[in-house]
Amino acid sequence: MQKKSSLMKKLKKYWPFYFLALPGLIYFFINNYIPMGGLILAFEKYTVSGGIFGSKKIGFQNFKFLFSNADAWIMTRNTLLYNIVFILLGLVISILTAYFLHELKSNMSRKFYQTVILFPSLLSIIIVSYLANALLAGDTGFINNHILLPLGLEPISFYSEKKWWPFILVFVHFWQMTGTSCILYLANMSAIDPSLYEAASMDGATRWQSFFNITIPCLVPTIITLTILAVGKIFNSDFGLFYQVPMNSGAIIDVTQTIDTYVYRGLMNTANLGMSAAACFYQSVVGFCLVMITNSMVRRISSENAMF
Amino acid sequence: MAEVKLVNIKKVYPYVSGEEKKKNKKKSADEPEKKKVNLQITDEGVVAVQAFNLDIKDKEFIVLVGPSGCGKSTTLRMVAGLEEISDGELYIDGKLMNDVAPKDRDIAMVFQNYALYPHMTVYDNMAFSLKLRHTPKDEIDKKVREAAEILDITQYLERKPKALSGGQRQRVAIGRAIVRAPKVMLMDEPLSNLDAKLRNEMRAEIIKLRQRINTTFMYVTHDQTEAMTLGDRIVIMKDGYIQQIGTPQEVFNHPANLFVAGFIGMPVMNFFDAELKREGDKFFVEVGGIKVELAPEKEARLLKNNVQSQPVTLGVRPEHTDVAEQGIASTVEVAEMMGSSVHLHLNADGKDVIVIVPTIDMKGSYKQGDTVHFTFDGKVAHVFSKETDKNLEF
Ligand SMILES: Nc1ncnc2c1ncn2[C@@H]1O[C@H](COP(=O)(O)OP(=O)(O)O)[C@@H](O)[C@H]1O
Ligand SMILES: [Mg+2]
Repeated sequence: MQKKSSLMKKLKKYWPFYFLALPGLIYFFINNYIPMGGLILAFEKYTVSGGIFGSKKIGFQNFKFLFSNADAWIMTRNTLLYNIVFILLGLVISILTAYFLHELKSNMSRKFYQTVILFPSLLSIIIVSYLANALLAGDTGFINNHILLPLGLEPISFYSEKKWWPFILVFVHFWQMTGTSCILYLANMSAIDPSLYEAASMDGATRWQSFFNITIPCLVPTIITLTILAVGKIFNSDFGLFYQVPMNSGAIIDVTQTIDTYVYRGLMNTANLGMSAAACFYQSVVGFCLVMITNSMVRRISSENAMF
Repeated sequence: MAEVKLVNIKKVYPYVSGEEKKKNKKKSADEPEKKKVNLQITDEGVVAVQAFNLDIKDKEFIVLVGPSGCGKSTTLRMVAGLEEISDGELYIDGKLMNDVAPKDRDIAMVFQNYALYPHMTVYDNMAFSLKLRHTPKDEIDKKVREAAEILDITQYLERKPKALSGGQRQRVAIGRAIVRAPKVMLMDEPLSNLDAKLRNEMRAEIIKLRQRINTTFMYVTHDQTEAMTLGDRIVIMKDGYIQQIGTPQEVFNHPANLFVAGFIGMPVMNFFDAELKREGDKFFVEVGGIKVELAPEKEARLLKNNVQSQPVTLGVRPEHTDVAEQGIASTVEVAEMMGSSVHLHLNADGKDVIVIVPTIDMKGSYKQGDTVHFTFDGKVAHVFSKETDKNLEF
């Protein structure tokens, strides 16, 4: 009773704020909550006639099939390894990029470099994949035609050789995403009181010592939040990057297949909605658990930096 | 423990690209805004400090004082190495320091906003500089605890700055500066973020601290009381120029110009339009119908400067203005009882005058509207040129 009335009081007092939040909440409900009903597909053998709710319930059959499949191991491994590299290397790359931008004295050059770094993230992944193709293509590609051949080296058939792709995908990912991921760090760095650096320089710190003793510790809350969020998505992948950039080439699927591309290909080839739903369910549950685990670990180490 | 010598130091803040244009545009839009500070603006930028010459003796406590924006912080930051010196030379212990990095100048600085490292404990804040210098651990511990003892912050060593009050943070900031026994200690308005009571306490603490750690101090403040109580010598600045350098006594008793006379002393000195009359070797001031002969030592100085009769601005401090049977007539507007004295706010022919009357000398009390006559002695009258605002004795 008490609780209810205090909620009403809050509603009454802050209604403009709740009102402002309403469109977001409605969107969130329609887009993120209603489709959850579709998760029931993961436990069904979907037929068009039966529809989402009327198809035959088959329990964990879909999961069994998913995990007994030889692809399950490969796609899980790929998804995990790429994400771990993206998270760890991403920390270093985006913080360093932000730091270099931040250290630029002239506003003009900072804006210039920031725009240059940010630009790739505005490109559609389709365009990016054709840019990559222009570099990598076997007979017409820039690398083969204008670098390797003039040097008298053997041309490389990128789209059929697996070993290049972990590097290509990691490179393309950072080429495209560094601009956006460093913005948050850059904003954080600009918020650090400049007199802290002055105090450190009087205390005898070199630039790098200030970086490690002041900049990084001040960024820790942001680093932790972003990392926890990224860990929650560790079973998800950037579909465009893994599907479009390799040009859907079958020869290199061992190193480009992720859970998301698997689900998509499953739908395209076999229309197996049940198994795709099972894969998504698996992604979300594991992601949720990982967020909870990471957060509780952070809370144990330094409670002020935990997200919740 | 060092001598600091500033020779003809100048600081020009260059315009940031685009700012110059904005400034020019602004000038036409709101002219009065710019007038607040009369800094010289040149083609290269804003001249924040110029013609700054100062010899600081070993272990001296120098206070830079002046209104906001006069270039005190800029000067201090140039000594610290945080700001490039545009022109002139800075020597510490005879060595030219212009291009030496802050960390190699062996200087410590206390910042106005404390600038404590937020993620480090008080202990680590204080130990940071020693750690960077690879001081042995037990020595760091000894020094940090010693400094904490002096500043009475031992019980907070394990706390983070967030968990401290303003006064405690200030102590930590001072502690961080003293642990490594710097050659020169710089302080930029260290007390201005504290409330009045705490400020008085900390002022006394700094005087004590100074006796314990024997080093050269450069202290910046806009508060003349702080300057008078702390400084061995005071440097009074305005618009980027030094106005006067001297001991508190000197600047109080012999202000070099009208600005210094008005800036130093509380309540503010009374100023009158008066006539300086030279009669042979004697000098008189005529004001409000009275004629007062200046003291012989003042006359000697005026004589040396070959000063002639002229209209002057006469300055007399409230503590040196006396109520008398005869003198300049005025009416009482407010009488403030301060305990040991009464501050009389008088209106003398449209001019506000403050007279401090010691309570013991008072006959009866003062009411609003009373007519009061006041006068002053020739020893305490300061005469300033109408044209240059300079004290004619200088
Ligand atoms: N980084 C800067 N760029 C341009 N002008 C500055 C800068 N820092 C200070 N100034 C100007 O220099 C003058 C002196 O500043 P400062 O030394 O901070 O004065 P204060 O005596 O109050 O400490 C001020 O008018 C200020 O506007
Ligand atoms: Mg200042």
